[in-house]
Amino acid sequence: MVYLSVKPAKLKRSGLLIIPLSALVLLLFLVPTLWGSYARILIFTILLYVTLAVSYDVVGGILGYLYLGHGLFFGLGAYITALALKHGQTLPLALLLGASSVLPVAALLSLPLFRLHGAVFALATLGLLMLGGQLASNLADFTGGAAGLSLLPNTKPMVTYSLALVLALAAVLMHWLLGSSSLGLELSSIQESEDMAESVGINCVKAKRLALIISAIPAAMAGGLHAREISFVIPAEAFGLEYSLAPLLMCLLFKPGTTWGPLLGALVLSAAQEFIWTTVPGFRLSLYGILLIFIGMQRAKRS
Amino acid sequence: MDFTSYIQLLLSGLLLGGIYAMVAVGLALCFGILGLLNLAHGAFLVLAGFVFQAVQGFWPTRTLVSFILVPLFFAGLGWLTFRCFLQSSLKRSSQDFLVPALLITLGLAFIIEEGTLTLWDRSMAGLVSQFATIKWGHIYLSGNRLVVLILMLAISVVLQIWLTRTDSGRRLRALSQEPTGATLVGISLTQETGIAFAMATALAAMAGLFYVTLFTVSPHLGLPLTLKALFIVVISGSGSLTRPLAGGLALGTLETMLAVPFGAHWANFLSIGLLLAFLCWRPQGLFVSKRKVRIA
Repeated sequence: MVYLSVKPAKLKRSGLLIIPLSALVLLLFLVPTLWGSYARILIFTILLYVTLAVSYDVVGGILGYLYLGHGLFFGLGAYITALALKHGQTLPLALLLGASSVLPVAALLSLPLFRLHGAVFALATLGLLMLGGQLASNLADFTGGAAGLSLLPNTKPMVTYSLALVLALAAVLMHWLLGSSSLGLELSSIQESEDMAESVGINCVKAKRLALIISAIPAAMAGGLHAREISFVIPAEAFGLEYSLAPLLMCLLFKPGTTWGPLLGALVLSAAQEFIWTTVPGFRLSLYGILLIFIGMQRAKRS
Repeated sequence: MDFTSYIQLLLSGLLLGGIYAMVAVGLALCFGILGLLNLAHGAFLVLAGFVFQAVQGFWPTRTLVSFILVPLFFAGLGWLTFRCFLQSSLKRSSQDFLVPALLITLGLAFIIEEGTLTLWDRSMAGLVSQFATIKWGHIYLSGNRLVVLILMLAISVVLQIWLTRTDSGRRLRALSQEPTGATLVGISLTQETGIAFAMATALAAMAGLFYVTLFTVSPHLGLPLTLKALFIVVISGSGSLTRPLAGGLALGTLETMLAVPFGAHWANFLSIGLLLAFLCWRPQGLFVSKRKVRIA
């Protein structure tokens, strides 16, 4: 694991952060008992978005590819976990199954996908997302088709909640460690100039493949937890655009490539979503639309 | 399968292909020639379908008038969209502009989709047949479909003539071949791109009119249709309108043919998969040699 090693100085510098962080984690663990189930569901959703945004940032921020296929891994994770639960597996095992089956998919897809660049890459990942949704509704014998797959109600909401908290923490920690690891540095040098990175001896294909895998696994586990929480998976939702676009917007809203950027984006955007969707009906997509236009115009001005 | 049903299938495949071709040509006009990506194209198509139906309900006898008025209205809408959202960032080279354009037009697509959903309350638009069915041996062809097919061919011929024979078309081609040189001799990039974008939107509107005449249209149709057509445009390489046209016709025919043994759902899956495979195999376009500059 030399590849993922981190400079000890960074660990030492951030040592002071541990006390407030552990207080925050403790507080989050206590949220359901203190404020009831609405707060639990709200924080659960936010934690999933944090996981998605931070893991999206590995490809969308550090590597800097415009990437619309994050929802593919979310959907795959949701379906595989739901199927495993349906066949009587326990939740941790089902989640692990979802994560481990996404690994070869991401590794295989990275080969043809990373031949593409820029907008065509984005379009191809969007196409893959649609392909995944179509596959889920076509394999009706396994997945229940377009009508979806329903599970028995979630009897242990606290377990799902705690797992979401652990997953979000792990994703943030992974991203933070990745930022200064040699893989993270390789990825950001690929973002700056792929030819240059290649010429100083970086194995770009391998680095990009690892990035895709690292970003896919938390997404798949988030999908699995989401499936467990709502006990229902449907292609239109699991492979819907929402779980690709929301992480993209959360990542691009502030500073992509940093840990705090997608983290803050996830917090702000999911809070805004919660507020707007409960007050203005019929405004789900337009919020994304307006943000996309805003970020696009911002980007055009900058480049 | 006997011969006549084969012909029947081929004809309906060509019609679906005609829709794909019209969408692809509209996109190629912007993306393939000027490097301006438009993901809201399909949303405009769907919106045009719904607007057309509303106009029909309001003014039932004048189908021909709305066939002209709706595309004109959408040309204006397209021009306005370009002015408001896209023009300010067009000055860079097309390379840098692709990703922002993708984000902006994807946002537009969402807003239009949600607007259509809210205004028409999730209904599906469809249009009853206007013309008599033609029977030729055992082959049936509805009059609507025949008229649409003829109109589509006429439109693509007119477009080709416009692009090759008129001054406006020549300016556009000059911009695509040599942006700096064309700007130096006094061709305005923003103005010409605006015109091209307006024309592309009008084409999308026309494709939308044909779509409601042939099939039913729903608000969620836009993005998948755009994506398929964009893949066709990328695969057929930049700078041509005839290749996307042929590509669209081929994809529609293939999809209809595949639907017989596999069913419509798997046909859709296979067609997207096939397009993606082609895209990853030759990202610079099937007919473009590797030495040429790739557009993305």
